[in-house]
Amino acid sequence: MEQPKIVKCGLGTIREPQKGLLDNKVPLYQFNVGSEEIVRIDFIFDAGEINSELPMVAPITNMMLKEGTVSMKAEEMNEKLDFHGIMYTLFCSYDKAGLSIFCLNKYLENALELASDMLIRPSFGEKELTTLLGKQKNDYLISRDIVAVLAKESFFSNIFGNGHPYGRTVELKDFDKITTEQLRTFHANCYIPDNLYIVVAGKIPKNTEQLINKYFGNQQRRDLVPLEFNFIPKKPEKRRHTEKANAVQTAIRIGSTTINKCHPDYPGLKVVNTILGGYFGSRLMKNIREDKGFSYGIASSLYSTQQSGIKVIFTEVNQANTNEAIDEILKEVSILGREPVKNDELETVKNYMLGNLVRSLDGPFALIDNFRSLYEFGLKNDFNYLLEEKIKNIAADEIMELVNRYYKIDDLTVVTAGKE
Amino acid sequence: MIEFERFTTSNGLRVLIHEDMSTPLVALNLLYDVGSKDENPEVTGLAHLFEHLMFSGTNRIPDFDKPVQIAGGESNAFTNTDITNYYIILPKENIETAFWLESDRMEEINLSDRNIDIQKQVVTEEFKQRYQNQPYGDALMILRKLAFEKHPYRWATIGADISHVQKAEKKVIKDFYYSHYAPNNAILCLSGNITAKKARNFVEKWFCGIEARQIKERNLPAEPIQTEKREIFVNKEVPTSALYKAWHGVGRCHDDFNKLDMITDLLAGGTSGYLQNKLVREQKLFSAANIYVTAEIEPGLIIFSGKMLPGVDPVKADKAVGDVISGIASGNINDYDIEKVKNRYESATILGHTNILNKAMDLCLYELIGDPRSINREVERYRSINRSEIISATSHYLNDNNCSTLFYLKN
Repeated sequence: MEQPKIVKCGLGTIREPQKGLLDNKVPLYQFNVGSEEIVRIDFIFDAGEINSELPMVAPITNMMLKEGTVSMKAEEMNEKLDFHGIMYTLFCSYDKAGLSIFCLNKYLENALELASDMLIRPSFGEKELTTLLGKQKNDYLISRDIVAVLAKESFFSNIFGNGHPYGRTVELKDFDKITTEQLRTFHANCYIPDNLYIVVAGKIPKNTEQLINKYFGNQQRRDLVPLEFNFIPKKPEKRRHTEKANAVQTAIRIGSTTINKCHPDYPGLKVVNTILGGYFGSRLMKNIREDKGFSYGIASSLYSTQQSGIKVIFTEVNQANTNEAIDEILKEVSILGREPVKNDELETVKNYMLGNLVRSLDGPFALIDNFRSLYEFGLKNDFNYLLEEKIKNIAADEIMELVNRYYKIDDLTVVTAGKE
Repeated sequence: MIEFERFTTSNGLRVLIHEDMSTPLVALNLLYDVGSKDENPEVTGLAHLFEHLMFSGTNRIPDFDKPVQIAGGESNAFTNTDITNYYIILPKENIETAFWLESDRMEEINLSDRNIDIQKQVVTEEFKQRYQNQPYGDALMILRKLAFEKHPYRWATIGADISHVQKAEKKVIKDFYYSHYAPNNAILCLSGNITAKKARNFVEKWFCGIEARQIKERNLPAEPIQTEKREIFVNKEVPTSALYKAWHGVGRCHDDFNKLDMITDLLAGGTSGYLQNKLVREQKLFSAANIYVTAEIEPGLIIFSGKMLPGVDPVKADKAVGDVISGIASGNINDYDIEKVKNRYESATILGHTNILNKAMDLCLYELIGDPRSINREVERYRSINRSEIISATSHYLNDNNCSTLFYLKN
């Protein structure tokens, strides 16, 4: 039987959130979509790594939010969250930190009350910190045996330098330097209404804005002057290796700093990244996995942070094939800068990316993720439309041009972790 | 509430259709009733190797992934001890492409030497990445082998030994396909923006021409009842010692399954489980502790795992785990906690219903193990379990004579 006809899909109209302001001017965005009686609420603060001069203060502050409040011990608080079936995730990235919760509509007020206690009134108890740090040290020790973790750390410290919040590495002794005082100060300066925005999505009950205002709208703004830290940039080493005896696979990271999504070339670069290693049929997957069988998987990514963009190719390969794999990866990059992409492949990538874009905007919870990924860069839905346009219209010569501008082989650093 | 239509085609394919017009997408999920339990103990890992080979193309469609990508979709698969599950998610306009692809590889695949060799290598690297090159990566393999003596659940899905996959002969691989991949051994679900009528027509057009095949009869050896506790000590180069325990439980369809699931949720669900409160926060023995049911179709396991803090005596840690569990068995639980795990189950179920692929996978699985309509009765079933049932199930299943313990010690 004949292959079914394939229709090119497009974004259509993307849903815009309804915008509101709490009494203390905290922005609130709502996506009222969905058929189940459940909502997701994200609270996002400028409280990431970039907001602290000291390593680990930002993530440990975030983790301590679940360890008790001024009025409730950790056990009691978590008991209440679980009792109401509230699922939550604390997160801390390079630039942002906060809390994301899922709750049934019938428990919305319970969830908001508990969330405000966690975020606004944590206790930072000494005993709780000691227990948490004990656990973190254990996790840290275990992570020293994972080549993927070692290579990732080494890569970021190489491209940003150990002094930069994106690049700083942690040693075991650093855990003992963390004090409750540091956490309290960081919390008081960063978990404030000035630094907060809230996004809600799902089948949102009518009184939601009112309730959120009740629990988050009366905390005073601080009108602080944002702290600016000066970080000394560092020139990356071309090659870096972390030795791990007995490793049967080597973790490889190849890449460099690059533009982030605020740059006009970014949508085009995203197409380049996809061709290279952004989907199952990518050049790197075809070569390293499907042709050579060196690896279970290989991919390349573009990350955007406030201060920089990062492009990185990552994989774990059979130890004996490490050097061959690196050569093949670099070869794929140079081919992409030398030979125009054939029409057939480009069409596949375009369609794949359009489908991906549609999926990334499907459903209430995906809408939150997409919104956050833009809002933090001062971008709006226009970005999605621009990306769609670029995917549809980019041609082979522009791709080569972008590769030659952004993927210069001499700028790429090669980081490995495993057995030499 | 998940509404669906259900029918069986003349060649034995079971079909479920769930309409959800709130999304522009459709998920096509195809479950094959074959897992690692169906393997010959001498040639394990085949079911999973097959999952890889199913993406290697056919004579008619040499590249499986490309049409999915051109149609703007995504596709993947997983294998476990019981089933092999494939899915494709596509924009609704292009969903027929998924029928074309899945029916094609159900009918025939291209088992060329080259495809087989490459996928054997890829699976070997997967084995290294997941089981060898990770601290504690082999722990659950050791534990399964200790807990099961006869039943094929004793080996992990990737295989008892990776050399089995590397040495597997072409003829054996071929036979495996023809004796397990067939319409009469599969369950298909469409979930998303597609009408039942349209879905029916596509099923008719693409799947009804495939001939039913003779499916290898399933004759699984019964696991002898364990009568005394088992222990094993291994010493490895790991940063900290760990403890693993496994008790024999029941299959998913058994009346006690939900009770066991609730017990593990009382112990380790959310952030207020007894293990977290007693062993991590209070006694500071573990940096993290977890317990779960394996949710297998045949009687599976209840598995505990915990990483000990430095300096903790493993025997003492093991005893502390036992104490928390016997606390439940001797009635040391209140109705509030039971209500709590029921509420958590309800939330998690509703959250699961917000995703078309989740719904499709669940419908296929419930069809396989009995009645897909029971998917809408699960919350109610959990609600009906009472305190004394929890207590008696705990002492019946989670006792020492039914337990295998692995002390995974730091060198």
